[in-house]
Amino acid sequence: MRISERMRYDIVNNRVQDAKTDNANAMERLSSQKDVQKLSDNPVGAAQMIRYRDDIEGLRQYQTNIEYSKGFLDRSEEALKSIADNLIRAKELAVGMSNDTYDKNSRAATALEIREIVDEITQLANTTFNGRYIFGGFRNQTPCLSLDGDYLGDDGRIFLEISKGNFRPINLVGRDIFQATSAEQEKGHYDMMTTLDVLHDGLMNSDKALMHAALNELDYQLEKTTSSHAILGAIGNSLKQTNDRLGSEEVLMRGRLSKVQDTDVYQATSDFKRTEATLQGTLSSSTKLLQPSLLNFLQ
Amino acid sequence: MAGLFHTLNIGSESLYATRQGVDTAGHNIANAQVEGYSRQRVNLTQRDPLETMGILIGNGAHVESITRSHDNFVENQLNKAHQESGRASARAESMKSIEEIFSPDLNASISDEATKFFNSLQNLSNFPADATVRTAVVESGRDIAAAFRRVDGDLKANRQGLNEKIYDLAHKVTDGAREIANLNVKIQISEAGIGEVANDLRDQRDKLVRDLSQQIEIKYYEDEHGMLSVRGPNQVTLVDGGHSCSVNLERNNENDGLYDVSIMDWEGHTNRNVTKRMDGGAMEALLQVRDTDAVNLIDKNNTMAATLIGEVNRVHQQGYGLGDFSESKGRDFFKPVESFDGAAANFAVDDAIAESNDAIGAASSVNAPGDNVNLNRIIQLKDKRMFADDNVTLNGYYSNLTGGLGLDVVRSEHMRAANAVLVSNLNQKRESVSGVSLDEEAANMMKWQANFTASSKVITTIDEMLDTVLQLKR
Repeated sequence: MRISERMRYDIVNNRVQDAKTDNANAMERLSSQKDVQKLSDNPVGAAQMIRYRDDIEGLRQYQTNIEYSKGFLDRSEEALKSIADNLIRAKELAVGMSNDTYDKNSRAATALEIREIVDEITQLANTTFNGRYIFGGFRNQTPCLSLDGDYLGDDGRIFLEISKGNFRPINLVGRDIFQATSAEQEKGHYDMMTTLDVLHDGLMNSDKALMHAALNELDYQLEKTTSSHAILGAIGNSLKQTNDRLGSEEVLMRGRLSKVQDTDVYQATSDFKRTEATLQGTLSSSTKLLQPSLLNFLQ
Repeated sequence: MAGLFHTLNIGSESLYATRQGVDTAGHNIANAQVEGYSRQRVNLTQRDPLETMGILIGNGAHVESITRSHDNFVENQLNKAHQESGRASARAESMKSIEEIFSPDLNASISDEATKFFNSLQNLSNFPADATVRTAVVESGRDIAAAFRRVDGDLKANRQGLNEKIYDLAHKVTDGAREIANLNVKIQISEAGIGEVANDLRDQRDKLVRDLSQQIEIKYYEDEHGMLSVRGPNQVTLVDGGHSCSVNLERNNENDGLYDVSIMDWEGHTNRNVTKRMDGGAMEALLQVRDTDAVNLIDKNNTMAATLIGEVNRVHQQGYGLGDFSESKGRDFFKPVESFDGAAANFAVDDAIAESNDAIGAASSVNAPGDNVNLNRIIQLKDKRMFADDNVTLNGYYSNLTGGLGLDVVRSEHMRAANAVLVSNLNQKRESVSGVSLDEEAANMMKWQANFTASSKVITTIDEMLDTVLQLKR
């Protein structure tokens, strides 16, 4: 083949350009530590990256939601436990005072203590978490239990998304705890506060029949409270399990993202070395190719 | 009967011919690096012999012609390859700039902003009555709106940029056609009568045709006068003899005021619109990316925007707000759009929401500040398959879109590279026939120089012989 002058320069030019481009690409990968910087670097990978990144952000958000729910649930649990404790205390007092050895005065004194317990439970019912009354349903900016023991909240159940498409309730509605449903009322059950009021009145008036009725009702209220407590425990457990699963899913997802997105450093380093050697070889052979000409020997 | 003067003539003609050889070598060397130059050769021929006293005596040599080394076959192949490579490289370049708009490295991509928007709603679902969180929702609503507007704006700016390129290219084509027509005339004049080939002028014309073939679809043939006729897209004549067309641009109001390309003949009689009739050359690629690829992306962006706005508003309208808005519903979250066109460009948070974040419809019941039911409904939109006939989610749609675009860019880059290799190979072939080799020219120069010296020796010898003849008389 005839080699013309322009061919020689063109060949050198093209080869040097190619070697330089390869070298620059390898350098770029090595220094950025990213394999996919432009869509065209790996179109399928880029689309995957978008999904993975979205998934990871979603997982993190679910974990944030769970973290918040946990606080809410813990607070609810504490409050319920204290309410139960107070109910037990009231029951103990009632049992003690129903004994005939106590006279009217000591019963009246105990009635005062029951009053204390009522106040205590009202306060616990109005427990807040981050400025929200936890037993108030959706009407949780205002206290949910009045001083008279009436429930002021609504039946709103707060759902939070704890994993993709999985919304879980995190609150207990105060009405279920503090108020007797009409079905319950038909069976002769009272509201929680009414029960305590009846006990109070029974003690105040040394009315053993009332005291007895209150004592039976207290058992029922205690049962209601502890079963609510159990519901919370179940939700808490399920949240904990979900949270653990989300954590390991996130790690897995990050691994996948990294596999698509991040440079294999060993590969990139060896690529860089290889392209560097090619470039140097091209450059040194280029000078050799360009120099000789018959004209150099014509004197 | 030939005498000494006859021999003197042979010597001087030989001197002339060899000087011509050195001349041509010099011309070749001077043009060694000129693009499109074809090396030239001096063709010496023996003169017809003379009959003297029954013997045929040689009559020396003369320069018959100077020709260029040129392979028409390679030239045609090269021009065909240029049509493809011009288109492929223009397409690759244009697609690359579009790709940057959707680059995954950009943190403010639509997908990222959508994730943030829905996460901010999740946060609000945790604290529906918290003013700070509500403000954050409005802000991230603004961000996602801005992301859509940015993509829309960038794509439209890209179309404008391509439009400018088309403008430049149209002028280049007009200029190229005019220069070819000018050279047609020059070549005809130079070649008329003497029957010689105007090597250098033809080299220049070939180069212009080569440039033109990268820019626009052409077909060409040479007529009996050595003039080149060039036809462009849709068989419209670009160059005919000494005449050339002009490529005109007219703003098309049905296409956002972007240019339509038409070709007008030299008399101004016909003006043919060839915008949609291109087949090859950079012009086709620029028009295609401007009117098809970019438009598709703008449409998809609008589809996404309109669907998202519609769905979020539909759900948001069922929600009650806080404070003054706690007993009213039916408000939009984003400004409603009437049609898909311009949905992305007009993407914005609704005025009522922007004015007061109490207007966000989080609640499903009146006067319930802790109610997050409606928020959860909006959150569910994130995973709702509401695109492509209810088959993919917002994020899926976006990642399919970018993945598809990425594949397009890769394809266009492959096409560019493949065509570049083809053109480079053909160029090597062409160079190997037409290119100047300095070594060869150096050898030629030595050859002609030696010949020149010998020829001058012939003349001095004859001179001495004449002296001898003249001294005979003394």
